[in-house]
Amino acid sequence: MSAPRPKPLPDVKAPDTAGFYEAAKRHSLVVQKCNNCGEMRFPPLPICSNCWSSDQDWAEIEPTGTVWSWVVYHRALEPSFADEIPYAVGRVKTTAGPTFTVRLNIPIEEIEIDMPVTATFKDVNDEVSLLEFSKA
Amino acid sequence: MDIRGKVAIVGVGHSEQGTLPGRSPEQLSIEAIKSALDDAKLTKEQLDGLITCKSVQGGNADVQVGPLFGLSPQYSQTLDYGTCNFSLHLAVQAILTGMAETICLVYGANARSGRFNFSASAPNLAGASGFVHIAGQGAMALQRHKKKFGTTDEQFGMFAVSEREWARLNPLAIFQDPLTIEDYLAKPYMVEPMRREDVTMISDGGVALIVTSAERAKDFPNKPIYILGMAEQSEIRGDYFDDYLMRPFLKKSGEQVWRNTGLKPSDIDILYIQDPTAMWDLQMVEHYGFVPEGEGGPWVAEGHTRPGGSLPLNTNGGQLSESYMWGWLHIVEAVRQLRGTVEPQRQVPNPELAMYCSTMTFMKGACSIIGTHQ
Ligand SMILES: [Zn+2]
Repeated sequence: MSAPRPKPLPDVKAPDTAGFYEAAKRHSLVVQKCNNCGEMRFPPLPICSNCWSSDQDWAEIEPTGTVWSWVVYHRALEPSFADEIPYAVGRVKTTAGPTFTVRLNIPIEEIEIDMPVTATFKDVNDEVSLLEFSKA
Repeated sequence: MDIRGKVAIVGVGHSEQGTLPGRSPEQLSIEAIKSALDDAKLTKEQLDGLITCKSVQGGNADVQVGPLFGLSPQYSQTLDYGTCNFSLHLAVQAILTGMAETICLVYGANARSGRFNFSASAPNLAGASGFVHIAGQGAMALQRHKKKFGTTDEQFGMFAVSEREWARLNPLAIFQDPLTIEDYLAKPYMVEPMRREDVTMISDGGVALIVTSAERAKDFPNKPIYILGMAEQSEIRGDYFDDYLMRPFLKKSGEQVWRNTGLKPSDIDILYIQDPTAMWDLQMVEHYGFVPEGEGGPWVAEGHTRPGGSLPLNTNGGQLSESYMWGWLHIVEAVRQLRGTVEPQRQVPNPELAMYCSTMTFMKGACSIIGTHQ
């Protein structure tokens, strides 16, 4: 047997996203917030797409939302996930506004569109904690 | 500006399709250009324009095709996104502004034998969550459509089934095995609620078209197929609103083309939709107004898109069953159907108007209406 293929991980050191992953390590959900016009977004951008201000910070948001839609991977299209098949991915609209497309840590037969969910975090290693959503 | 009937397609061609190891995108482009020139009874010296389309996996820019082409036409361009519609629209603009008179449009790709990874995961949250491949986004949109409008697997599966029925009448099509709706429903999900049969398979090949002014078109041996209407709509801002996977911006492309041409969906004899997944078929028949939004499922289940149906869709088998040429083979098929020169078993009786709708992921949409009369 060869060593298991490493699973893809986000680049937690990239300057524009580092703040998100630092908060995730503390199991806190943050989004980028423009200090000029108040727009909140994820993924982050170097400037505000609404007013073009570069004055922005990470803002903690309510870790709640609803499932906009969801899918189940029955085939490991990325081979390193073969041991997790079947797994569910959902597009979640947070109460604060921004959406996240991440794993749903919910039994597949219980997942429904519009169901309320809450942010949870899976500690992958010392540096990486991944956002998931679980039943509210 | 009214573009109706001022530019025509006078040649179409393509290389073999499938797994073609050892041939570069540029080489496959030249094979396709030769085929289109033969069809138009033209030599390469008679072209004064070349518009190449970058390959899905990179390569095939005009400056890469040029050395193999062996000539430097007056006008050359490259577009970074395929589907032929954007290239065709650029050619119409170039011809009507006098930049060139006879232009070859070409696409070439070796994504299959080059083992291009369509499942590559981005180093971001979605990638680390295993949200990979276009099937993920297509399935996400389909699940939402099912919930919102009650669309069922039995209904949705008819896109894949009807395209396979057409493919079985097309010798060029790669997928020829019979596929009934019962066969479809018995297949496992790949990315639920989507099955393998709802998703394109990548392939190698090249496709080319020759486009010229309507005045010159009369000198060519083939019946000219005129461009009667065209429209585009971008959504280049991307994923910034909740429903972006449903691609509602495509409605604006439809509104433009119906307004500019004075035509309506029921005037179209044959429809072509670029279909990396069958969800694109469902979205575009609704957004372009062939059926009201939400009614695409029951409508396709009635059999309209099948051989003999009221609105034949992707009579080549589409990308689901013919070959993955980023939509380029759809318009080749549309031209041949309008000329009346496809194999008799799949020739639609006396079509006069065809429409081709395509998209570049979730960020751009385009459509063209072509026909036998100016
Ligand atoms: Zn702002």
